[in-house]
Amino acid sequence: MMSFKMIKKFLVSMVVVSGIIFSGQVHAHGGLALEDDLCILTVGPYTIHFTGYQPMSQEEEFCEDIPEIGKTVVALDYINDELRPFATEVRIVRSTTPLKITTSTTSKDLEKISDEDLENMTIYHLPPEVYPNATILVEHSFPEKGMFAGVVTVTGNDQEWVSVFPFSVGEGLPINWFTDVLPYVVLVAFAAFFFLRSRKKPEQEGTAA
Amino acid sequence: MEIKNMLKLGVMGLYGAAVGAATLALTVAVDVTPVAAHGERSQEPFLRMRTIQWYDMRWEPKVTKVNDIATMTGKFHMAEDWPRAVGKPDRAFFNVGSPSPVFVRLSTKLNGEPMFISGPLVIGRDYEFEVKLKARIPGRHHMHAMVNVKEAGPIAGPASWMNITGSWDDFTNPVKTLTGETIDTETFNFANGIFWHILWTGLGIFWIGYYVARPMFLPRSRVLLAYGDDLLLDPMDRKVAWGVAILTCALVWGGYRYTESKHPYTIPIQAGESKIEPLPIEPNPVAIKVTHANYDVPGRALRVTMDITNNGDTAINIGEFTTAGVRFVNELGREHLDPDYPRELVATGLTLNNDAAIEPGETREVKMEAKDALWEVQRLMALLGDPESRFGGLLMTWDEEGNRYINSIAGAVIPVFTRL
Repeated sequence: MMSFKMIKKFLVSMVVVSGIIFSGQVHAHGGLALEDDLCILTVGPYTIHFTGYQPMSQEEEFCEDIPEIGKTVVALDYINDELRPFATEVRIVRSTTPLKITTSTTSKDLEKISDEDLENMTIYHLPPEVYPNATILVEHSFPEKGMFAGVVTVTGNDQEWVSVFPFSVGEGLPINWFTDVLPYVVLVAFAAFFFLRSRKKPEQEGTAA
Repeated sequence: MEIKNMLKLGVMGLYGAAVGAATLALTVAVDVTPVAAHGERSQEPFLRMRTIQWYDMRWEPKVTKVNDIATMTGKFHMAEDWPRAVGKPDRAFFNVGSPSPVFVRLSTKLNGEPMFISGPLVIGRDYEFEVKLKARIPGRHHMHAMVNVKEAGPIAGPASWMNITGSWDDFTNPVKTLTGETIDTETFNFANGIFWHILWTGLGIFWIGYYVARPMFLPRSRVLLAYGDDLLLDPMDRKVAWGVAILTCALVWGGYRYTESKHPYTIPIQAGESKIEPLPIEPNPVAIKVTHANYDVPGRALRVTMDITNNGDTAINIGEFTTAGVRFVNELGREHLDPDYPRELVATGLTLNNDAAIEPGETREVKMEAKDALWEVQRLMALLGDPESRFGGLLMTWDEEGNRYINSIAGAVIPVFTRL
């Protein structure tokens, strides 16, 4: 049986290690990631702020995975001013033959398919356009669950940058076990441990007396 | 509970503190990321939009050599719609927000008068400022104008990047004293400052450490409450306490005597209150009443409906709406825009439902849209989560002769999810 000292050491280690886990930045699918509490889409050397809304079904904004099917609004805000004169194209493609989209799908996978297949896979398309107000509105209604990928292409200064971010639709809000669950488990374990210990002691002391 | 148990709990408390410190240390060690600017975007939008409303800001020059002088100039309006939850500016101090003392502030003038102590500012009135800065630490620095308001805290204005070139080692800041002696404040009495810091810190650590070791505060306090001070009375404690008390008094008295003899002529740190009159109220023929405002959340657009009356003799046109340092301009506003104003704070998405000039004597309902990603990037629409969701800002109009009129506007704002 584990001694008190061993249990204490284990719990302390858990707390310390969890501190390291929580301190790291959370990385996610493709070019889209949650950084410092901001949902950031990286396109070449530039960054775009991604905010997803489903005003008809939920209050919370989301990053990457779309929790419910139905009307979805995504705002893409340029963080770098250099992007303002550039043309940006937005495309949403669905997982179908010849490309099965997974969380690890990248722009290289899309390069392998023909233009015709890309058009067939496309369910939403905003042609290249300059957005001097630095904000792009994407409105689309997803009728069914599944895996999709967003493709953002930025063109400017004779260069082109493509960012692909796979996402799921209709799987609910993702749970981060490390940040959403583990802290509470550790807290309850601590509380239970000390509560049981404090209840046990007087009995032992009483028996000894 | 026995004393032994209390001491054990105290040790466990110390153990917990050590775990916390270890966690914090590991967190800091593992997650080291560079910090840009000062988190001004985290400041509540109502503080940035409805308190100090900045305009005509200039930072000159943008590149300064170490020891050269730069200036920060501009004006600010004390918003009439000052939030109820924010302390009133009965005691305020003009300041500069910078990442550490990269510049040395040589002087601050408000409406032409020196401001080196705090004083009241009048809501609804305007002030003009000039700050002279001497370049000290090379690098690219984000420099804010700022007003510290008692019970409200620092209210940061817009910032611009200012570059300092050269070497920090070359920095000097010579000052002539009352006795005619010239000292360099960068190095003057540096060793003396270090000595006093080490002395007082050492004494403090000894004092706390002595009681931590015999035993911790919490068990001592609990023993004191449960059993009185008999168990805790130790003749050595008394001796140490007397020793530290006498040493502290001796150091204070001796330090003052030494300073008095070395520097007999000194000026006390100035207290009191600055009494600076606001700028005179300029005639403004434009009257504005905000009747409705909403914010298109995904569209990043603030839409304001207002009745504008032109009481002047010439037609007027709207050119700019500025809030929290962000300048929304249309074509007219662009003509009057200072090209040196930070590009990252300029939005060209100001549109009106009717671009025709408002004629003298006319009252018109104007629908204005200020659209740009800056609402989100600058985190200004976090105000939609506030219990008092109100916007504020300065609306600038120009008459045919090029005269500018500034009106502070404000109103409740409702979030919407629709396009125009």
